[in-house]
Amino acid sequence: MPRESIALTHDELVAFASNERWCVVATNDEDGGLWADAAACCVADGTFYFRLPRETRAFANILKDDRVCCILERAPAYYEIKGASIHGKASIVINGMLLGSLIPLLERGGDPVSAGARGDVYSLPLTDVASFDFAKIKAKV
Amino acid sequence: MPDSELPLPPDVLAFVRANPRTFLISRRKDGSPTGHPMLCLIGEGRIQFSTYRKSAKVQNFQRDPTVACLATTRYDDPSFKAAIVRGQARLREGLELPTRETPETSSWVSKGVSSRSKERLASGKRILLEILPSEAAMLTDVRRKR
Repeated sequence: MPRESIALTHDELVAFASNERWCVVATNDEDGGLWADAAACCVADGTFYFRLPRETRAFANILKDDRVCCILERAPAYYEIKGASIHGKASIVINGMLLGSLIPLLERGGDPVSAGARGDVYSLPLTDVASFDFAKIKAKV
Repeated sequence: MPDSELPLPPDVLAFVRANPRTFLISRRKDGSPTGHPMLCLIGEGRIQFSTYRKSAKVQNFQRDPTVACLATTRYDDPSFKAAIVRGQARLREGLELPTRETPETSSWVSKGVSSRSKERLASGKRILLEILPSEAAMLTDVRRKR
């Protein structure tokens, strides 16, 4: 029997991610291990964006290996849990007009760890995503 | 990354006990990082996770036990805080599910969900992933030092 799918549709994913102000950013660390930090994030025109202060270890890691995973999760109650893990290569955003439109969105929550910190903005396409929505579980106990 | 196991520092352990929301990071087959939002448990002083034996994260750790965990405050907490724990993940079998220590989480995970997890752990469908930490700190302290 095929396994029940509880994944978000693309439209649901865009709606969900658009409401999130920060995400966890996972990177391969230069010491051979894994690293995780938190960052301001937003969605614009169907693309996911996040901003990392330059003094973070995640920022240094991306310079050496641009493969990242940005993770979102919202859990008001057990059967309302939604989450998404967005995988891909982080690309730095240098387009001034685009940055100008993204900054107000990223400033909604600001950097979650270092208040007032700025940094570089990266884009990540919403193409390689693992997601879940517990509201779609049919056999609730 | 240091490879010897260290006990969790008291501030990190206290934070994770009070804030079990944890992002578990593993590596996919191609070596790229991936993340799994989870609720952690504390057993024998270590971070543990109950998960399905056949899950992608278990397969990832069987291939490469390298792990990072970011425990954070709730998604709706306006005052964000986080602790990072890095090290190795190992699979534990034949253990009972540790009791959830935060009353909020105990009531949030329904009795039905909790008893089903215990049954599936006993039957071997679920297993415990345990984190052997080699490095752990509050995220604000890590950033301050850089």
